[in-house]
Amino acid sequence: MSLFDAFRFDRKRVLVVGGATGIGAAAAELAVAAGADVVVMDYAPVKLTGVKAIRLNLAERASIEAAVAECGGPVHALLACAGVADGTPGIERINFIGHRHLIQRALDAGMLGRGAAIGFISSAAGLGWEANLELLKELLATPDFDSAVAWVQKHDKANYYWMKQAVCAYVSSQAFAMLKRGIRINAICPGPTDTPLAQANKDVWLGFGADYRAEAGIEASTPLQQAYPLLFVCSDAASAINGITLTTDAGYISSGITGSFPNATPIARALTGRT
Amino acid sequence: MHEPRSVVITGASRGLGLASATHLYERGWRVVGAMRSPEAGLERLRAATGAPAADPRLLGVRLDLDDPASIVVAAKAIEELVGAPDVVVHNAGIAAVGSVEDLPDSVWKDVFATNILGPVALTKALLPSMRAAGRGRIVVVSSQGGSRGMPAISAYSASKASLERWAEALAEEIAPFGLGVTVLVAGAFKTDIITEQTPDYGDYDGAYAAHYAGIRRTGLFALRLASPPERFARELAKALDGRAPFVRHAVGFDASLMLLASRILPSRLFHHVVRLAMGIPRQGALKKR
Repeated sequence: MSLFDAFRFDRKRVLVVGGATGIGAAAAELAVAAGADVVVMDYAPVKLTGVKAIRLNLAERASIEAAVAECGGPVHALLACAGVADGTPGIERINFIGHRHLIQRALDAGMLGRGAAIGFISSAAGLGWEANLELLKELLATPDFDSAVAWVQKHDKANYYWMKQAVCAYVSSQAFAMLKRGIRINAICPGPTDTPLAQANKDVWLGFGADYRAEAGIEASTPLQQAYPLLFVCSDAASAINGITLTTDAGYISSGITGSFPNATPIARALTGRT
Repeated sequence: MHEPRSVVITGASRGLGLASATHLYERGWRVVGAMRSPEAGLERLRAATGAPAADPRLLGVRLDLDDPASIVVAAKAIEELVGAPDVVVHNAGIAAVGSVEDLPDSVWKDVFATNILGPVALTKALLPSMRAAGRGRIVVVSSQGGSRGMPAISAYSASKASLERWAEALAEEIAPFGLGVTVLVAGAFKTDIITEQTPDYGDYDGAYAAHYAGIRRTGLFALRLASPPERFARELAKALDGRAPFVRHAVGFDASLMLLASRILPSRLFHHVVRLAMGIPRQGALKKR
C-alpha cells in the first residue's frame, strides 16, 4: 500500500460521536473532505452538511442504543469525541461509560469489522492511569452501562479526572481483544486545545502550559491539529499502533519530565506518576 | 465632561501596587495611593508616571494597615479627595518564611493584621459611601500561595485564604447594592516579597533543614521565572472592566496552572505536584527509626 493509500479515508464510513463541535467537528469535516461517508452523532445540532446527523444523548442508554441502530453498519472508524467538564451532570456517562456502551452495541451488531479502528480523546488528566489500574479494572470489569454507572457512583469517581483515566485504561486493556477481531483501539491525549469546551473554562484550561507556548512561540492547539492525529491512529497507516494513548501536546509533558522545560516538571512528574 | 473613575490602591509605593497605580494612571484613572509613607510613595509614583506635582489624578493618603485609627482616618481622607471610590484594590501584603514550628507567634498577628484585618477595616469604612453611590468594586490580591497552603509560608497562606473567603462572603452581601468583588490570584512577580525583604525565620540547622534546602533550591529557580509587575498591572486594569458580582482570576502562568491542577487533580496527586515544586522530601523520608 502506498503512503498515500495508507492515509486514505475515501472508501471508509466514519462515525464521529460528539461531532457537532470542537475536535469531533474538525475530524468530521476532515473525513468529509477526504471523501469518507460520515455519520455524526451529538446532543447538540450538527451544522456540517453532507453527513448523516443522528441526535444522541450519551447519558441515556436508550438513546445510545437507538442511535447505533439508526446508524447501522459498516463503520470503519469510530471516533469517540464527546466530552464535558467537571460539574456537568452525567459526566461519567458522557465522557466514558456512554462511549463504551456505544462501542459494545456497535460490536454486537457487527458494525465494526476487520480493519476497523476506534479512536478516543483523552487528556493530560488521563496520564498516569497505570498507577490506578487495579481500581480502574474494577470499573472496566462491569458488564454493562448500568453497573458501570453504579460503580462510579459508589466510588465517587464521577469526575473529569477519573473518566479520562478510565478512557486510557480502557483502550489499553481492550487492545488485545479488539485485535483478535481485526480492530484497533487507541486514544489521543491533547494538550490545551481551543475548543468551545476549553473556552467555557478558559481561565483555567487554556492557562495550562501558556508559559511553555509563550516561550516556544506557539499557540494553543486548534481542533484541526488534534483531528489529524485522531484520524491518523484510525487510518491504515497506523496498523501497527494499538492500545496506546498518543500524547499530542507539542511536547509539554516530555519537556516537563526531562526538565527541558522545568516549569512543567512538578506537574508532569505528578501526572505521569513519577513522584 | 466625563469624570475619570477613581481607584484606591493600598501598598502603592512599590511592587504590584506601584506598577498598578502607574498603569491605571496612564489609562486615565484617578489614582489614590494608600501607603505608610505617602510623601515618599508619591515621589516614586510621579517618577514612574511623569505626572506633575499637584496632579489631581495622582493622590496619596497615609495608611498603616496595622493601626485601626489610621484606617479610619485614611478612609475619611479618601472620601474627601475623590468621594466614594469606584474601586478599592487591597494589594498591600506581607509574607514571612518559616515552618509552623519556626514562625514566631507575633508573626501571625502581623501577617493577619496587614493581609486580612486591615483590608476588612478599610472596606468597612468605605462601604457606606460606595453603597450610597450604587456602584463600585472591591479587588483583593490573593496569591497561589493562598489558594493552596504552601510549606514554609503557612501564616501567609492562611491569611490569603481568609482574605479570599472573606471576599466571597462580602460579594454576596454587597451585590444587591450594585457592588462587585474580584479576587486576583497572583503567581510569582518580581517584587520585594520574593526577596530577602520578606523575613525568614527558618532554622536552617533544625528539624526542617532538608525542607529549607529543597525550597531554596526550587525557589531560587522559580524566582528567575517571576513575571514583571507590569504584567500584573495590565491584568488588573482588564479586571476593572468586570461587572460580575464575584469573579476569581489567576494572573500569571504559574497561578493559572495551580488553579487548574487544584481543580482537576485528586488532592493526593496535587500534594505531589506541590511537594515536587517545592523540593520537599517524600512522605516518611525524615522519620526517626
